[in-house]
Amino acid sequence: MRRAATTLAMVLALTSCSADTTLDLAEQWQDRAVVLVFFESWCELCARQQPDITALSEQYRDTVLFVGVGHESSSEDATAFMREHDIDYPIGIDPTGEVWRRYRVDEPPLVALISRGGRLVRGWPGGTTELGQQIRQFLVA
Amino acid sequence: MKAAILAAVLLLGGCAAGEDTGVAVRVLVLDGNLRQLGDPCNGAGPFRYAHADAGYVIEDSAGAEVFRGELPNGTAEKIMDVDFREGLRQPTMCAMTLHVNGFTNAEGHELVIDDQEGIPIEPSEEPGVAGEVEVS
Repeated sequence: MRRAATTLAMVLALTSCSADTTLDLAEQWQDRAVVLVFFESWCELCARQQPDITALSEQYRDTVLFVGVGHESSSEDATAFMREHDIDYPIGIDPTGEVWRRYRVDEPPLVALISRGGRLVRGWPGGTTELGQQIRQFLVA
Repeated sequence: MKAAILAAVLLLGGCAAGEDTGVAVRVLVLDGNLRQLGDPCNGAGPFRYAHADAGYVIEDSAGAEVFRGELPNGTAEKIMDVDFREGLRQPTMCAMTLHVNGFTNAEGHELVIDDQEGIPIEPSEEPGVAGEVEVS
């Protein structure tokens, strides 16, 4: 439990069209499951997979928090990516790469599914087409 | 005046089109990252600086700039001659193709990506490819 608290206390600076803000992930996953979507604005594979992720984020809006996590993308480019792909969930920038390192992101996309309480259920380097099924299996059922 | 502006716009358009019509230089990012063959990619791990939209410069042996551009997305290609089961992610390299103007001979030229250290461009035996760079 102590390890989880230490490991998972991560704060992201959020990119949005409004004022800058922050998101404490550890606080969020005390209440609900979280899907982290690691991306960069120039990542073509991320763009290809985004429509399915966007659809799932809308379908599970009330039960699962989706968060996009960029690293080297500028806030402007990340915001443009959000708009281009109709992303309605928060996107954070991890400027130091700390969150990326913790999730061993060598290259985006990487999708990580975290259950309520902060347990990492599964990560998919390269993205996945199984996310909906996994959400149903681990988080909602 | 309008004609001059139009001419300037056309000239600029010509430059942009030239990036697609120059000679090909292959950039092979030997990162060994696990990918599906043929998937779009960028450099992984320590080579993440080699990504689409990252600026690059090609310099001649005197260090003079020959060409400047931005990297495109790459494509995942086999990095080793091993047959993996079809559909499995496997160790790959990320291969990008640059289209470079003003470049005729690889000798003494270097590729500088995002202000990193220059990497020698080697002549390529591949038809239609003027040079090859291994990022490793």
